[in-house]
Amino acid sequence: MAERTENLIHIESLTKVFYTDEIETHALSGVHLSIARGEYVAMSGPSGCGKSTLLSILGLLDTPTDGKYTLNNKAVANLNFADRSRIRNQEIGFIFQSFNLIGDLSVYENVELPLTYRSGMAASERKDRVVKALERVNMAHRLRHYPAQLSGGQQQRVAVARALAGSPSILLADEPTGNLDSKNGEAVMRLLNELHAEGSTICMVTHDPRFAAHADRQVHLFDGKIVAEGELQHLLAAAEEEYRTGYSAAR
Amino acid sequence: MNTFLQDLRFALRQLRRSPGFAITAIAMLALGIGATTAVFTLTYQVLLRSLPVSAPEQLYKLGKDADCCVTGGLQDKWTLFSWDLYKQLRDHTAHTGGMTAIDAAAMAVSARRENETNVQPLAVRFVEGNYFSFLGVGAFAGRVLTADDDRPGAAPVAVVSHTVWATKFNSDPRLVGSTLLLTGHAVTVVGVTREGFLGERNTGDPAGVWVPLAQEPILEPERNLMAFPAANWLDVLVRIPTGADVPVVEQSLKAQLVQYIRVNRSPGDTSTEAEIAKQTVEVSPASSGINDLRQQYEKSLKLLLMIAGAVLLICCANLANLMLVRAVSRQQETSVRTALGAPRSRLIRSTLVESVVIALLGGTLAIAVAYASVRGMLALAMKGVEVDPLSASPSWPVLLFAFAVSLLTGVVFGTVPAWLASRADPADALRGANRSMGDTSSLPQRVLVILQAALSVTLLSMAGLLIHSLKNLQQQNFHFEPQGRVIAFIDLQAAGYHFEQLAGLYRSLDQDLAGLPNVQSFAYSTYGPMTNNSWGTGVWLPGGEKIDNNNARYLAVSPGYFDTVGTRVLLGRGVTDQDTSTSTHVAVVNKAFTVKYLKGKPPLGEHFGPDRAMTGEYAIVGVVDDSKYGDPAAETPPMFFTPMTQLTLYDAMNAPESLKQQAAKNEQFEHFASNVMVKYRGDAGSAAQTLRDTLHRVNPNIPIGKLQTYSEQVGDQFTQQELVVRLTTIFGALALVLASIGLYGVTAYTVARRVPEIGLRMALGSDRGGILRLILRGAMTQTLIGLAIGVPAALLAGHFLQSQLFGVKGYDAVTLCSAVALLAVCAAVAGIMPARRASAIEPMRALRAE
Repeated sequence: MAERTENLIHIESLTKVFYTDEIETHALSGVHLSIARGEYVAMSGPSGCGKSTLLSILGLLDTPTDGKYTLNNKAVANLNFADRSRIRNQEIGFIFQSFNLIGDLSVYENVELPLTYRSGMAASERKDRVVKALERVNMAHRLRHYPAQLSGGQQQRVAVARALAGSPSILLADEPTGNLDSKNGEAVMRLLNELHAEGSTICMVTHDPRFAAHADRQVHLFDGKIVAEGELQHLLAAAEEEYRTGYSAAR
Repeated sequence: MNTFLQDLRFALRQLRRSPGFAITAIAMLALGIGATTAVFTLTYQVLLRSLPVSAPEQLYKLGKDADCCVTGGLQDKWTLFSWDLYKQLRDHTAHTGGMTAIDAAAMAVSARRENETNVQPLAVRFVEGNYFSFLGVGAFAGRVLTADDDRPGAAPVAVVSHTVWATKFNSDPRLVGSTLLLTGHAVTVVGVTREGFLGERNTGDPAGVWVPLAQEPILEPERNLMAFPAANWLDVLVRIPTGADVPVVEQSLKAQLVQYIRVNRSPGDTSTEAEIAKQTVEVSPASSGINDLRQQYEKSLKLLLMIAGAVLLICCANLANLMLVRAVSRQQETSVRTALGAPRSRLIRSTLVESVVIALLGGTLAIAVAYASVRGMLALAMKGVEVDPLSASPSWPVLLFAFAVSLLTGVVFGTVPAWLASRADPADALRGANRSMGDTSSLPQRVLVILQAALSVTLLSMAGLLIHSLKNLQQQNFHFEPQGRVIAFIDLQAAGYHFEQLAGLYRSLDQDLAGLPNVQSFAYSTYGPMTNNSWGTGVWLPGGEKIDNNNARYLAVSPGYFDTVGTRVLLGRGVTDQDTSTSTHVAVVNKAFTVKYLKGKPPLGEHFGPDRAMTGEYAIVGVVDDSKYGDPAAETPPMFFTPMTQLTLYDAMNAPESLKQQAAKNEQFEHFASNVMVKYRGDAGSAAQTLRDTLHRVNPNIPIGKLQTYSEQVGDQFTQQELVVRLTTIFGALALVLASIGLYGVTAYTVARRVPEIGLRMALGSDRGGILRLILRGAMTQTLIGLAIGVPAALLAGHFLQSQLFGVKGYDAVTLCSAVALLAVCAAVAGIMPARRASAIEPMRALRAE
């Protein structure tokens, strides 16, 4: 595990409000969160708690209504579309719940896709990175296949390879096992664990406690706020203590 | 470049994976670009293509229009010139790079090679000796004409075109140096021009034999225009060097013209100094030659180009619609690309590459569509033409045009869908495909359908107006009877006849045609009705008072002429056998003549003449109906008809001797019958054969240019209008079908997207009729907005079309209402199919889809 010495992500008082006609929906309200380089964070919470909104903002897919967001020591909350695209391409690797592989592109081309959006990267370097990423997820032998020819687990491994190919600062995974059976889900989680062990910073949204348990730290959201945060063992201890206290009082 | 190739590969792969979309889009564009390219192919060849001569951009023609064949007197704006006047202009006009003179009319001759009996008709044109050097055209074999060949007394020589050499003389290399007998006159063929050169004229069946002007008096002794300074019969081409000032050349030409007229005024010339000072020569660019086809087809081609452009626009609107649907269906994919960091420019480029690839594939197929279409158009427009200067084969400029239009189409109509696609929200990648997405494309789609409806109703209305106009033209009263008649076009000069021999020839014709079982009556004349030809003269009434614009058209006709062609004799009689060379000179006038010149006086017994001093020349013995002889859309001008047997004597004419001689020569020339008409019983084919056999029996050397029924002759006058109407109708129908497809597509797409909503509405109590009305209302609203824009546009188009219409106004309510009704019906049909599908949706299934 890499030594955590500095914050890769730091957000402060982050809010996100959606306006629909005359209705104002506060998706996030005053969220504070830091993720250190090399850390593995799991975000959980019930549906509609703001997990995906927070992940969208972390991944620069969306902008906050208010608050500060620093990625790699750079304020990124109010960047324009083009700058966000560029940073997203270079700093962030996405792993989606529904894999989001492009059906008309081969495995190789899917993994290569984010690299083609980088100006000035030589074709030989792209090839090198794609092959390494596919080897890393044990999918190098399927590089000429199309997504429809792969199983769900294989597709997600390709999606992981696509996220890895650009050597991002952080991997953002949105329910990466949500569309997989338990066996394939476990396999993907093992892969993420290995990546983390190799030094990758990971932020994963999940509401499956079994998978959340793989992370160093869990963040619980409820109604757009972080309601509990800590390293896994502390949260477990706190929960146990809460249970015990409640049980004694009841007796 | 690398990423561009990736986009290209991806686009091709996408098309391969969606063959339905690809075929529809490519076929639609092939039709649109094909139609435009077809019209451009003709436009290029008629209006834009340069002659294959050196520095064609320096070529100008004296005079704006191409006139034929001989004019006299002051012209105001001169287009034709006498030999003497031409020499003055050539030798004294400043700032030119040279001039050359060309006979405005080609001469049809019977030609045969020495020692051969096989005679074939050939078109010969007299040209100045410097013609080929002026144009910079060389010989394929032998040599071209030179100034030395054009001296009086020079050995008679001729140069033939490569086309004539190949088609009429089987590319015989021995032709050069051999003798050719042109109407019995021996000329030596000294050369064959290089391939592709068809002369200075852009016209069907251009003359393919060139003879020096000096030979004109020998080959056409009856005409001998070289000897008449008052006869204007030469077209003149001038070179104006690049950089020279055209108006300065025009001023110099005008000065020379006015000086020439002043110096050469005849004693009897009544023109005033003010009239002379008004005379001008304008020059017009002639890089495409003396362009008969331009004059004939320019307006129609411009109109067709506009209409084809509108059809292309409709095709493009459909393409844009398809691309929009595609963009929406790929929104999730675009979101993923955006999430992975794709810059907007890359997303736009990716979609644009696809639309450009479709457009280029459509453009490639369009070349085949254009080729087939042009062949069809030429078959109609160039019916009966042996040497067609127009070709269906695509030239480089046509290919470039098709490529440019395809590229432009792909870019312009791919841009909006590409831009809309690039606006995909990257956060949708997280939300997944099953979440509902904003329908950013529906407004542009509706706008495109409205545009299609507006354009369609405009085109349909234009097509309706043109159909109405053509019907009026064809079904008008021509004031003669084409049914049951055949007409032959003959050339007596080409057969070698002199004026003195005509009486004998006509006697033979009378004897041979009379009494034939299937010949009811027959006649011959200088020209017949609807042949677009007649002679012109001034009209002077007793008292010598000058009437403004005192022109009339006239012809010499045989006895029985009016009965044979079916022109009603309204008063008095027609030309009969009583009218002999020694009897009183008589004339039969038409109704327009009496209206203009007699102003209510009883016409019979009135006199008039072709000159102030000859007002008693003709006694009017009859009045006939205003039969059409020229433009069927124009009013018939005042006309008179004299007996073929009577020759007007110009001895009393108040003019110098040379003019009197010329008038007398013209009078003789007018007595050469060009048409023989037969009113037949029974079968037209056998009547035509009878006429052909009779002419052959009278003299096998009389060339028969054309022999057909009179109905066919009348029909030939509408070739151009028919072409325009057919194309406009095809384009209008195509526009209607495409607009209907567009409306159907958008409605069907809307229904597909609204399935959950429809299910919900039904779950909440809406019946199937309500759903049907809901969807139809949406479809018809777009159509109605399209009509609201299209109707004023159609009225505007009708206004601009007015000059090309006959007997129908540009704002014809019936036509417009028909176009509107047709579009409305098609729109209703296009809308009702998806609407019925929508009303058949099962609410539970629809809600489950949500």
